[in-house]
Amino acid sequence: MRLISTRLLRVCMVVSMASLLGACAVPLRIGLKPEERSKITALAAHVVIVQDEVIAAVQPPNAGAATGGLIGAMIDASIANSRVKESQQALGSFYAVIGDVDYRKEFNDAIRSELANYQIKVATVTTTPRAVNMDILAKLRNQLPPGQALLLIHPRYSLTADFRNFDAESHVSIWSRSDSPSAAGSMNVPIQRSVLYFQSQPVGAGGKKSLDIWGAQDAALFRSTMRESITETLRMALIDLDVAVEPVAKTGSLEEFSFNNGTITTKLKGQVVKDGDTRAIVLASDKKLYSLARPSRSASTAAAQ
Amino acid sequence: MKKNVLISSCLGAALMLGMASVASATSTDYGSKVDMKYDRGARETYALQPYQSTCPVHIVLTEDARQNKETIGQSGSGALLTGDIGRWVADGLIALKDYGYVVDETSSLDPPAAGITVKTSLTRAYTWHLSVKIFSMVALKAQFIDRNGVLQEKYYRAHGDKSNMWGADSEYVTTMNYGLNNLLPAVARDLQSLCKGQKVDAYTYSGPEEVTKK
Repeated sequence: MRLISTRLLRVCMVVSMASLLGACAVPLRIGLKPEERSKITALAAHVVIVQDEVIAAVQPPNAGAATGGLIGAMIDASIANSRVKESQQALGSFYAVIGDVDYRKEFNDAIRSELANYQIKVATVTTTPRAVNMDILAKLRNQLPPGQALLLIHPRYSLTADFRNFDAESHVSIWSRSDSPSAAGSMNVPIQRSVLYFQSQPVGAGGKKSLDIWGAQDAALFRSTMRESITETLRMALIDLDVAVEPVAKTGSLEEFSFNNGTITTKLKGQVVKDGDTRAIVLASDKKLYSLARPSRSASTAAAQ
Repeated sequence: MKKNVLISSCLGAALMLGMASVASATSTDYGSKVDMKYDRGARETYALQPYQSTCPVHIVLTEDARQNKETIGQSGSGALLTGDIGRWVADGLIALKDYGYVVDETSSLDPPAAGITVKTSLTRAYTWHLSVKIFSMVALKAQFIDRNGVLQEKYYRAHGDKSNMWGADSEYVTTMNYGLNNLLPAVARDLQSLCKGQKVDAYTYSGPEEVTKK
């Protein structure tokens, strides 16, 4: 009994810590100020890809938020367990087909060529599975040559919980040397920060039917979509420095796009900052920069409604 | 937008803010070197019942064929560094003796005079987070050799999960052991057929519930 109580207390502590972390104070999007930009002669790109393969973005339930406290957290954990088991069972044979897929290598190959066109010269590129903590970040910043800044890219990728979409979200930030405080006045705040989000075209009707399509012909569609996600992420990165901090409605309203959150298709409002034949890059109201498939774009705008 | 995305974001933020965690492993300048030791007692359920009819099983040291041989994921303190973990898997396979098999180690890939030689390569071994849980994934390619040569090649995957109690790096190793120990019952069950020269399914996935389904 005492052991159970102790374990419950530990879980509670973890939950409390997670709640505290929810109050993330650093803005999601920080624009690079001209005075900071002028100081940078080159960037050292550091790409952190912790994941070894695609996972399903299984969503934990929200019982913890509804009921609060330990009981809610335990219900959450139990349901999360069940959902992961279901998704892993479904993904099993698909994983057998994509065993040779190496997202890290694909990203590394792409970034070396694509960043040659970046607005700021990229002096070095490092791609690693090793997560960065505060000490490592400080070390990376301290070893920068004068004039260089650190470009930190942290991509994550997944299939939506219904397996219909391939998503990739990258946290991008630029850090000055640690002895050169940013204009924001804090040593621990990047001089630029953004979140780049790719969502593919929806594939199939969901569940096993979608997985069968992704996995057909040696997972040809999955492989090409994964490469597309990398290309689009880097495309967003290339224009990111010119994009405003917040979306601006040119005609009095923002456009609406369809977005699959894994459970339902929702509407996402934003400003189109780059339009293409098949995809649009959109600065959304949540301040993330999205690359969304154009056929999924709603023909109407909020204003037209 | 999504709670798991929020948690992931905040975990990232926590890393940036230098969240302290309990780490029992050796600290390096780039994360913590975790002690990847096989633990036959790290199980999610206990349902081990030795098989009555078995054959000798010869284990070849597992090849670590992961694309990423550096890490098994990340904890609150940073990267979970490993290096080659072929020994960890081989030690797990040697625990097939818990299922009634007589197990020894061999370096020979020649057809054995008796029983089955098991040659394996580890293709995936990693952990990830969801809610307050740690999950692990272990993927293994196996080649079964009997006295007539290669009898069958097979692919196994298994996952394990546990509540993240302390954020300690050792908990990630425990979760990895859960995954490996969830995979072993499938191997043990297959060996029942392989020992008789009969082929089995080319792929098996097993989660925690597999242990009780022998």
